[in-house]
Amino acid sequence: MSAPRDDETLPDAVTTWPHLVRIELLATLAALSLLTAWSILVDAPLEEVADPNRTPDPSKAPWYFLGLQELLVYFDPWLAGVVLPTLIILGLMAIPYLDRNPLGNGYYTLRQRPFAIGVFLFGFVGLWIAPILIGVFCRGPGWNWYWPWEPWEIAKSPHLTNINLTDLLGIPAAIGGVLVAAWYSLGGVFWLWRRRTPALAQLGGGRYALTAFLLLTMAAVPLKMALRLLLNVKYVWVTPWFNV
Amino acid sequence: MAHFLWILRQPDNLPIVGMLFALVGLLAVWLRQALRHDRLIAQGRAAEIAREMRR
Amino acid sequence: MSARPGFWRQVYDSVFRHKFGDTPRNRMLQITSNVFLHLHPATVRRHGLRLRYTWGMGGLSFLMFLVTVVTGVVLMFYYRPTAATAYIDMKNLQHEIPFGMFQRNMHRWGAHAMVILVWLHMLRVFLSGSYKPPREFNWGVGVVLLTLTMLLSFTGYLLPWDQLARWAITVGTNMAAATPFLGHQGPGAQLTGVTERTDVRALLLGGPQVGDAALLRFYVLHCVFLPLIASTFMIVHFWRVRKDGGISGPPATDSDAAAGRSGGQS
Repeated sequence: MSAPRDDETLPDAVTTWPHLVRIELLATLAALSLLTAWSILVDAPLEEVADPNRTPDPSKAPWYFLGLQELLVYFDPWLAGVVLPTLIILGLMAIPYLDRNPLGNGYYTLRQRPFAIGVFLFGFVGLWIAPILIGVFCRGPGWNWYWPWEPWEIAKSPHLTNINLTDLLGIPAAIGGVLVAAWYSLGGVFWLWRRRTPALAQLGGGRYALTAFLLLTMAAVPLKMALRLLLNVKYVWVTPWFNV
Repeated sequence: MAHFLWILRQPDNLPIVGMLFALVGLLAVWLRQALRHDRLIAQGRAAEIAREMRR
Repeated sequence: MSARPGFWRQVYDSVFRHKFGDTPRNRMLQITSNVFLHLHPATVRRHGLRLRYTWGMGGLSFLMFLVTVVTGVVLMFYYRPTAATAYIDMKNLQHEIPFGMFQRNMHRWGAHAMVILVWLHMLRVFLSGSYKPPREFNWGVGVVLLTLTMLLSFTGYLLPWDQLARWAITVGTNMAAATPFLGHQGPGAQLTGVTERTDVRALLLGGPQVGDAALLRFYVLHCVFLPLIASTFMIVHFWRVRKDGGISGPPATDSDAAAGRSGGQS
């Protein structure tokens, strides 16, 4: 598949002044007008003064962190609040070094880079925006699930009988580590199966390993959510020091 | 329904609604162009993409 | 040598080092002789102007940053960051100060807008493949700026010192207490011996609770430290856009395309 070519016979460079500067001026005026109108019509919230003795219920983080707060239902705080955000940041920074596909550089396309786009949209819309929407519309007092039309005055009790996966399967708790290792070894299995294909061959072992690790971690999030929501599984791997 | 509108009306939640509209709109803008470009590439008219982008 | 220039003529010529007429030379000089505008190159490639391509998100994010800086400085005249005075100052700002509520609104909605615009900018850069060589490093700088934007928003969230602020920040910083080895409620806390007063959450809050120390700390982070760091990274980010060849565009030749080199050399 070829990429679009830049035709050098057409004149291409234009002077910044006035072309770019004009667009910037118009965009600034439009954006500032919108912001000004919004600021006149909608007031920023100010609730009662901070009271260390009264915790509001539900106590929600700022909306842009609600995705992470939703993850707290399914993962312990050290995972949901520290490890996963760190992986998100590092994973994002790694993208340009893991994506060796030369196509799609500087123009929109779907068929030339479906994997990259699919994974990114899954992560951004599915794993970031969707939990934020859940946190805004579907979480009420006690962080219980309330459908958006259910008023929060209805009392709900959290589902208390959660079970660990190893107990559910009737195996010793330490085998949980084997399950986690097995999950990540799927990456190795895939490598052994497909390492001769052109895509993986040109990627190389190192980049593949990093990509597989990040992808499997991304996929583990909805998997753990499903385990929790459908089977009430709390932990996959229990140790005296940490729980996954 | 009334409760849903109450959530929606909270001042800090309105930007989220705005973001949703912007996200859907921009993804539509992207998808239209991406599909069009893919069609051009499949027809061997890839050079037109560059020319269109410089119109 | 020449006739004595008029007073206003001399004033104008001393400020603007170019003539006013629309000539190619003056167009170039408008950019290169202006310290703010010469962030841009004197000529740009046409495809970089297309809003259907760039969506204008990067520029709008920077605009929102400037809006929050300006409105933020105005707000600083009326706000004292102590637990005893912060809330009263907010009430004062909203009810007594002329245009106080408006300033606060511009600041808060500008901040929300900046977070959203930065996310959409990241989406656009990804969908147009503009992180591919030679722009890998600038993408990384952008991720740092994304993190700084979120941190700026988070630190500012505490300053009104109302219930919403205090407890949202409590939820957020409690996650820091769960950091492995560095948080007193995280795995490995016994090994390192961190306590409620000495872990990374206490570092963030200046103590074990969300109190006066936290408010002052977040105030300094929000108004001085993080903006300085963000400005530095923004300088690098804008500089790299130019050095990496301007706004990315389709490659010039088929060999460039096969090698993954994008167009957009300005």
